[in-house]
Amino acid sequence: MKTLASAIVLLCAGFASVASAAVLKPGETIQASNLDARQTDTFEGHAIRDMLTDRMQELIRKEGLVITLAASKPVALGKNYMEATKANAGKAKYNPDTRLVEGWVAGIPFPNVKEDDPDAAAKLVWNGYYAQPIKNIQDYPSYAYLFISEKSGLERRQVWRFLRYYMKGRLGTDEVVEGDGSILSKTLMYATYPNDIRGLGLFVQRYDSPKLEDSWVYLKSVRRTRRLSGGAWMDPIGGSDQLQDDIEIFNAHPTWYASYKLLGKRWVLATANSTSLTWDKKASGDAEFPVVDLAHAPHWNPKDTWEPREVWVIEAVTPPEHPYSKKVLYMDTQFPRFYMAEAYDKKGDFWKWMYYGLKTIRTGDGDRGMISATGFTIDYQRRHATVFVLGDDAKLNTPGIRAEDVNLQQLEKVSH
Amino acid sequence: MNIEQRKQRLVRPMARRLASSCVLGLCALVFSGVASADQGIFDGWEVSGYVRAQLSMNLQNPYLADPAKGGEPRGNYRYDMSMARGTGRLNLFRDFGKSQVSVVIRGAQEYETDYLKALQKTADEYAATDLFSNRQRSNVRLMDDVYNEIDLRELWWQYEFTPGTTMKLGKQQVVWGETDFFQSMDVIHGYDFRWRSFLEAENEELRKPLWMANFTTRIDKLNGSLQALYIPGRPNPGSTRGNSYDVEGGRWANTPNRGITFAAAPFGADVPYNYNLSGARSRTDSYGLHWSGTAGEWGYSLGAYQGPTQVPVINPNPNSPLGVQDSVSGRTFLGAWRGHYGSDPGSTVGELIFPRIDVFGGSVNRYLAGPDVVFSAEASYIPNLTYNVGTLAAEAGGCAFFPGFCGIVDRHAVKTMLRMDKQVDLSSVLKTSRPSFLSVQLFNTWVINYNRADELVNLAGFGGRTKRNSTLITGILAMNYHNDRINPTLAVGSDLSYGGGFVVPSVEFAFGNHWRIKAEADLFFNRTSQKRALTGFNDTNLFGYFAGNDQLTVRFTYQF
Repeated sequence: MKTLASAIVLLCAGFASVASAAVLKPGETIQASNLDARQTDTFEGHAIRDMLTDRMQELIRKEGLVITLAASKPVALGKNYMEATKANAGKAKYNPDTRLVEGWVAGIPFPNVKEDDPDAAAKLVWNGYYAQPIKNIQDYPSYAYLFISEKSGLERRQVWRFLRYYMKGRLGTDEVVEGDGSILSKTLMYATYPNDIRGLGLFVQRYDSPKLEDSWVYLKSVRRTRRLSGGAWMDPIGGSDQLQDDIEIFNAHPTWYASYKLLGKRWVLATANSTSLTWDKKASGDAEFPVVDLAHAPHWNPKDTWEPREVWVIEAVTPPEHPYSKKVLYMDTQFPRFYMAEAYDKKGDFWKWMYYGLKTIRTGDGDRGMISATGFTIDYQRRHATVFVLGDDAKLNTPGIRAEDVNLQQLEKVSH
Repeated sequence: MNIEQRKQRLVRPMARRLASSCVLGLCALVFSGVASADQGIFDGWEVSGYVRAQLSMNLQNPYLADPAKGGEPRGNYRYDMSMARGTGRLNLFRDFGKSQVSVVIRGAQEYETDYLKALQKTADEYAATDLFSNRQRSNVRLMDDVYNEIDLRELWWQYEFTPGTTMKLGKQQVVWGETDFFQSMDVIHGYDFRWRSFLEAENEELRKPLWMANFTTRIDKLNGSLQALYIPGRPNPGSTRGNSYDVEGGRWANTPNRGITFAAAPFGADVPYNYNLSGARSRTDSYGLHWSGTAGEWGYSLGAYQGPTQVPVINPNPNSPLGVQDSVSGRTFLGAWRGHYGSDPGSTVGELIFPRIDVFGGSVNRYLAGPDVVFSAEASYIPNLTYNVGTLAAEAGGCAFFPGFCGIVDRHAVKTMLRMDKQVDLSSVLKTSRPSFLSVQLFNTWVINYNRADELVNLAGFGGRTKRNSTLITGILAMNYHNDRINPTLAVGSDLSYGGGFVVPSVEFAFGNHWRIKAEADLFFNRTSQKRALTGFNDTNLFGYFAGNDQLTVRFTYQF
């Protein structure tokens, strides 16, 4: 009898809980004031608490992060990308001894990673290294770096031009590999604002091997090109809070990290289809960058829409000389692109949170590719943030750009 | 020449050059298709630049001679303002697709501080001691002729004929080689060291741009590009060629020559520039050919240049009114260079000339992953590089009043540089916010067919004898704090052959997008320096020239 009574009480409690859990709609927000109340609410069939990582919970509760829900939409990946993935399925092999991938041609090298695969995490990282769904050329006429302080808000900004040409894994062309196959990509970037860095240019050559990148800088102030250290991949970029390695969340050759561990698969709220206007070049003040909540302390929170996405959670353990002890990465299970990451210092304390707002755009040849509309690297120890904001003039696979247009000889010519 | 005539002399060529520049600029715009383009001629230009104020103060009492008291020091100028300079720079750039146009204009105006007034006063008083005329003051006005300027720094039009093949026409800057501080392969342009010596970190501000045709073609099969330069003599006046050292007696004149104008020197020992001497004629065209590329792990370059030398030499007047003779040391007086002397033999003792030279050289660089360093090297071979000879002054039995006036000899020289760059993590020691940039460089000059008996001097006017090999070492440590909003830098250098060196600590603060403030101390050390003007010539070399010139400088920049 006592057991029956207990069961009835528990059942009633369960009904009460279900009865109080709301089904949230697109446009509704999750913020500090309603976080506790919305833990059990659902959105598209997932409980809110199940889609917020512990870190996100903390950032909402203590750091003013506001999440605006959006109905999930399928991410349209490129036709050539999917064709190459299908056509080359099974060709790529991961060698646990060398930690290298052999036989990759184009597309996602490991499209069907299983959770119980002992090399699952490494394969996923390789997927990200080789086959982000971008196509062959990233052509960004303008992107801004915003330097934000908790105390003073937007401190300053830099504006850069970016052009990357992929030499391998090329899509939609018979020439899948350009050159001798040793170079994975070539990148040119140069600053256009403010005046003291205007004309500062970088050329970076990334290899399809563990070899460190070769890079050169053109210093307009002395009108000279200078070779740079390839060992800078784990150093901060200029005065930013972002390491070279943090670009697009993970920007290192997979073998440079000590090891990877798959922590699992889960659902999170993420920005897969960024809807916010990132950069209003006609506006001024805080309104110029609507995607960042510059007006309210701590001035660095993103203002975009979030939708449920299933992600892989990967722990990447850094080499001893790296500033971080590890990164925890959140990669979409449908395509190799990261939404978020947490970086931990050598003591194991939480240090930085990275958040990227993604979206797909039409490429120059009519296909589709993915860009990072924004990228936030927030240093919660130094209370400072660097936000990458892509201009709306970003292009992929721009016709007419050739490999020769992205090389060291061009560096001085384009930096002005 | 009265002031009005001087203004006319200055203004007319400048106006002609500006008019020519405007014509060229308009032609460039027309060829670029802008006249018929959808956009108007004033649309689409990228505008940037800065307004800047620079103040510097003497940290020592720089020696300034009193002509009335036989060259005794004339005052105490420690903590006096040595520079109060305002500068504005406007950069205009427009990309037309296949062609680009750039215009850079810079204007500078200085306030004449008490110290500058004292320098000018000394220069005037010394000029008035001329034994061969009754001039009452120097023909150089420091403020107008050295410090104040309005300059069309660049005006070029770049057109891409075929992919990778471009022609850049107009006034521009071209830099070869790798070396910091020194010139080995960096021979295309001279530098104006008069208003800030070598201390302006952005050396594009010191470089003297030239009108030229700059043809570049990429040769992808060889992973490199070939550059051909044609620098016509006529549009580039002599004053724009070679390095401009402070021979006007300004704040960066070599100790003990502050307040002494070479062109209007004491007792009429005048040493004017001559840009029209056979073999050193500025109107002669110059040429350069340069290849840069990569080969495996290496970046490299090769270059050849024919044009005026960077460092002027003094061509002695064989009929100097102050007399010449063979030196008691055995160094014979060689007479005028190649038998030619172009200045007034009755009122000058020598003339500053920029003999034409050939330079052949190359550079390499490579990143070494093991030690995580970038290694760079550079070497240039200069056959028949000109040197002044004669280490003794007349007071010690030398050829002429000043050392180095026994004549000019040609010697083959090799200038080499080795450099190592490394990112060093000082964050745990100095609490920097990211790894710091460290660069250490060795620079050597080797006179191949050296003969001690030649008595080569490092600089005419000083008795410092050139050695077969001379080496300098420099180092730069650039640090960053607070997300690069506070950026201290330490630059040091030492002359391993002749002694002395420099230490230049500085810190730049970045405030927002627009304001930059930089404070810097310029500290110099020497083994030997000359204590008095016109007498007591001794073994003074590079860092002896900077004796007494320690400075504290602050720079305020508003950029846009």
